Amino acid sequence: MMGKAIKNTDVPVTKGTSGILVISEDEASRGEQQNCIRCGKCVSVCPMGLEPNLLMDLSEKGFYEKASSEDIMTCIECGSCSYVCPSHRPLLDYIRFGKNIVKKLEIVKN
Amino acid sequence: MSNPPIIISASPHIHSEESLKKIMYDVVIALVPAFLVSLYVFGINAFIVAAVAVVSCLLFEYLIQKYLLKTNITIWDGSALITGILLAFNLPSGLPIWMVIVGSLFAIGVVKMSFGGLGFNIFNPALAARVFLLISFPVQMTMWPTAVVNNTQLIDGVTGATTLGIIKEGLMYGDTMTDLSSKIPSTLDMLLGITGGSIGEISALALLIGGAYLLYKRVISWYIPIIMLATITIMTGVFWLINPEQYANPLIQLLSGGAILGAFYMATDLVTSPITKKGMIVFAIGIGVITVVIRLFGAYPEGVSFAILIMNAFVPLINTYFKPRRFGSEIKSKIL
Ligand code: SF4
Ligand code: SF4
Repeated sequence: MMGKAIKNTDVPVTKGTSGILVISEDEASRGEQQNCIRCGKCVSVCPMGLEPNLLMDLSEKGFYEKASSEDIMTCIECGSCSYVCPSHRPLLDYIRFGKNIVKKLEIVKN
Repeated sequence: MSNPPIIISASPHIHSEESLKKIMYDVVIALVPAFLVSLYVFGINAFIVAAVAVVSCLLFEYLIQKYLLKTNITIWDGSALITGILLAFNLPSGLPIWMVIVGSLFAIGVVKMSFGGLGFNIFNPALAARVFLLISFPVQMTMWPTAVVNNTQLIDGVTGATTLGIIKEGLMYGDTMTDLSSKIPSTLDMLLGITGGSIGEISALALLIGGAYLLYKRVISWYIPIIMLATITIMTGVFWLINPEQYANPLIQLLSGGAILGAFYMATDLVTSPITKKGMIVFAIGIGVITVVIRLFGAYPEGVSFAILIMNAFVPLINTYFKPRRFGSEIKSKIL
């Protein structure tokens, strides 16, 4: 579920490669994104005790400081939140995006 | 020869089968048993009110999205359908049609769409509309047609009070619970729904069947309904034990009025309930306490809808203060 997507066949198979999956279009295509209905499914599955719906909102709207204080950096990118969301929200995409910016901001600060 | 396009996106690459539509239509399925009971008890009138509420909710949502907001039309996601059904469930079956339409307009236009549509409303649209109607038209909203089983033509003017109304009024005039016990429906009648009340709240059994379906499908979690009902039971139980002549017993309190409808279908509304388990527990206890206080000491005989709306207003606050426990946060604070 969480493997790296590869674009072409030039990527080598290394010692650490445990498998190669080809996923059908049906399975891989993402559903249409809808409003968050605050069902809390993402919160209940997050192994780190984060609130992915909140973190996505904060990164989307640019509140990176707040995202950082909501522990966005402890997200382990397991993908569970995006997997369960009934509204097909790309939670992890935005959290990754937010994490990158928070990291840059902290480097600037230090 | 051209290759078929390969779709590449960031992980996770697969998605659970869950979708908004499935959740919404599961709720609709869960409401069917209660609706069938009300058709049996109130006849064609219940059907008319429900049909008008559903159609006008869908229509208003369509009109607002198409001409006012000019966004995508999402009336088929099921949320407006549920609002319509729940609104009808909270109305007496003899309500004039135009009032049902006004209620739908308020639910969809004011409570839902003006906050930004699905997911952004603070209050449960159906409940807010019910309270709006109750305050605007107190007479029509409390004319409960009495149960006329096997009679599709409800005779005009055959109305009676609800169980809670009888108790409240009787106690006010100095009757004791023993005097009143002959006037209120038997426990079995309340369980099956042979009693006066709004369309959806009468049959506790049918509502429980639907609630069990929702729990089984994991659309709702057990925290809110069970804790809310437990709070009502414990609080009314204490008062009943202190003075059984002045306070109705907990069983009557649970089976009458909107307690079960509210607990399983209104308070658990995903959008307007807290997001974390701890928050849900606080929310449910709050609803239970406010309900009992209004029922026993307030001016209205029934307080579930007010209680849920009041606690809805606290949800943002609850979400801020009751966060899930962050994994490893204790260790981190020790090290730093
Ligand atoms: S799972 Fe999706 S819809 Fe539910 S709260 Fe999280 S982001 Fe919102
Ligand atoms: S990807 Fe991050 S935020 Fe989402 S469930 Fe996993 S740890 Fe939580």
